[in-house]
Amino acid sequence: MNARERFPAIMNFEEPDRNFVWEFGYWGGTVRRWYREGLPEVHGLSDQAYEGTGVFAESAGVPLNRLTALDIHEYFKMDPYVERVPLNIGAYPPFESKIIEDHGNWYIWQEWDGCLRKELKNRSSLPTIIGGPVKDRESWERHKAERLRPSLEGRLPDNWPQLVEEYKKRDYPLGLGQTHGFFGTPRYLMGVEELLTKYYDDPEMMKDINNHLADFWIALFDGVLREVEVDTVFIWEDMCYKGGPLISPEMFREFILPGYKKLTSFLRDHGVTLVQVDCDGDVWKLIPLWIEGGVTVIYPFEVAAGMDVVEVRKAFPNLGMVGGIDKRALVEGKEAIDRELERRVPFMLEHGGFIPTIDHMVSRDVSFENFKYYREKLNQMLKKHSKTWDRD
Amino acid sequence: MPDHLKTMAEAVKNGDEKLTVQTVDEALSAGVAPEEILGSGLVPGIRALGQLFKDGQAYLPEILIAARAMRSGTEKLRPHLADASIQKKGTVVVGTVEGDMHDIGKNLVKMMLESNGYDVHDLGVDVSADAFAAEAKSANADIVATSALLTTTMTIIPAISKALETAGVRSKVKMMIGGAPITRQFADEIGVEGYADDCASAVDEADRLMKLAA
Repeated sequence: MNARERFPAIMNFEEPDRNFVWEFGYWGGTVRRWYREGLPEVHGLSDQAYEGTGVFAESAGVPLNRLTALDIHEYFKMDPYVERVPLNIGAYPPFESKIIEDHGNWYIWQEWDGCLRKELKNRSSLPTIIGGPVKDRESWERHKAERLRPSLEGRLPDNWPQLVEEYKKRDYPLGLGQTHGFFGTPRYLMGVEELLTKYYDDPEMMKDINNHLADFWIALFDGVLREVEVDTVFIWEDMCYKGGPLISPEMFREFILPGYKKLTSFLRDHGVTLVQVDCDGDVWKLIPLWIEGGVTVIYPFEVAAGMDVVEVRKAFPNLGMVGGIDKRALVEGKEAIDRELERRVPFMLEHGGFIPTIDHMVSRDVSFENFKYYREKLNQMLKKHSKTWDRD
Repeated sequence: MPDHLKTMAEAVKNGDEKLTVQTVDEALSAGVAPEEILGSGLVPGIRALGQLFKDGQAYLPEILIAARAMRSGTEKLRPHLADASIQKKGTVVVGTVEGDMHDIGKNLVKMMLESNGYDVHDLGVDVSADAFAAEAKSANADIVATSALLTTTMTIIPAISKALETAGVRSKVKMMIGGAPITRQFADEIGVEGYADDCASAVDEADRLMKLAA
C-alpha cells in the first residue's frame, strides 16, 4: 500500500498494511535544540523559523507560508503526509504586510489576510489575533466584494498545470483547505473578542459571512476538483479551550453548522468523504455537531484540555482521529512516555480509525533523547499492529 | 429584591446593555441608593451569569456582553458613587507572563474581577517578573494574577513569586494563576496559593484568597 491508499484505509476503518509514522509539528526552537543535542543538521532550518514558529515534519503539504523540518522527517523515516493543494482560500488580492504599532518587545502587525496580530518581535511565542478588516456591515460587504471573490484567478501558483500532472501520478494523499474554517476565518476577519460579541450584536451579518464562505469555498474547490481528485479536506477552527467551546453548542448549531452542511454536502457529491477538523482544547461538546455537519476526522485531541482519544473512541466508534498523545509526557521523561503510550495506543490501534501523533507541536522543553525514545516506543507498537513494516 | 432591581439583574445576566442602563436610570430617579443599585442590581446579575458559566449553561459571548452591560451600568452609576463609600473587595494586579502574548483569558478574568468589585491593575502582555513585583508593591496589591499559554512560558511563574519576595511583599500578596497548561497541581508544586480554570472561577478563587489573607 502507498500512503495515498493507506490514508483512507485507516480513516475508513478498513485494514491498512500498517499505520503512519507522522507527527503534528514542532516549534522552531525545538528543532534548533535538537540540532544541538544530536539531530544531524543536513538541510537545516530556515532563518524564518523563529523560536515560536510552527515547523512541520513533513516534506510536503504543509499549509501555505509555513515551514518544514526535513531533517526530522528524514531522521525518523516519517511517511509522506497529506499534501495540500496550494490554493489560497483567504483574501485575494492580499493586504500589505506591515507593522501597525511598535511597542518595544512586541508589535501589532497586519498580515496578508488583513488580520491584526499582536506578537513578540523575537517570535518566541504564539501571536494573538486582535482584529481584522471587518468591523461592521459596510466593511464586510467591501471585504467580500474586493477580496473574497469566488474566482481562482491569482489563487493558484504559476506552475499549477505542472502540479496537476504530478498529482495525477501521486502516491501520497492530497488535501484541500488551509487554516480556515467557519469560526476560524471570521476570527481572522475581526479578532476573537469582536467575533464573540458580533454573534449577539449582528447575527444576520454573522450568518451572511458563513453563508458566503461556504459558497466561496465551494466555488474555489469546484474549480480545483474539475482538474484534480483529492482525498481529504482540512478545516481549521481552534474554537475550544480547556474549559470547552468558546461558544455554546446552540450558537454553533445556529451560526456554524449550516456552513459545514453546505460544504460537506458538496464535497460528498464530488467524492470527497474525509473531512478533517483541526481544533485544540476540549472539543467534547462539539464532536456530535461536527459529525452532524459531515466531518469525519478530528485532530489533535489535546490531553491537557481533558481530551482522551480512548474515551472519544468509546463514545464515537466511527470517528477518524489523529493525535491524542500528551506532549507533556515527553517533557516529563521515559516512564511518563511509557505510561502515556500504553494508556492509549494499543486500544486505539485495536479499534482502528486512528493515527497517533503528539497532541500539538512538540515544545522546546522536550529533549531530543526523549523524543527519540517516544518515537522508538511508538514505532514498536505500530509495528506490532502491522502486516508489513519498513520504517526501522 | 425589589422588582426594578430584579429586572436590572436579569438585564445584566442577559447582556442587555440598553435595559441595564435604562433600569439604572430609573432606579436613580426613584431615589434608590447607588450602593443598593450596585450591590442588589448589577452585581447579582453578573454573579448569576458567572454561576451559569461555571455550570456550562453560558459561554464566552454571554460573559462578554454581560460584562459590557455591567460596565455601562456602572459608568452610569459612577458619578453618583463618588460620594458613596463603596469599598472595593481588593486590589489585583493582572498580566500575562513574560514571553506570552495571548491575553484573551487574562482580559476575561479582568472583566469578571472588575464586575465583581475588585480594583484591577492590568499590566497587559509579556510582563516581566520585576514589573509584577513593582506594581504589586506600589498598588499595595492583595493578589497578583497571571496567565501562561504555553508549557515553556508557565515555567516563568516561579520567578514572579521570587520577585515579589525580593520586593519584600510576597508574604502579603497572594498569587493566582491560570492558562491552558496550568493545573492546580502545578500551582501547588510551585507554592502558588490560587488557581482558576476560567474567568468565573477566578472570582471565587480571588474571594477565597482574600479570606485567607484576612
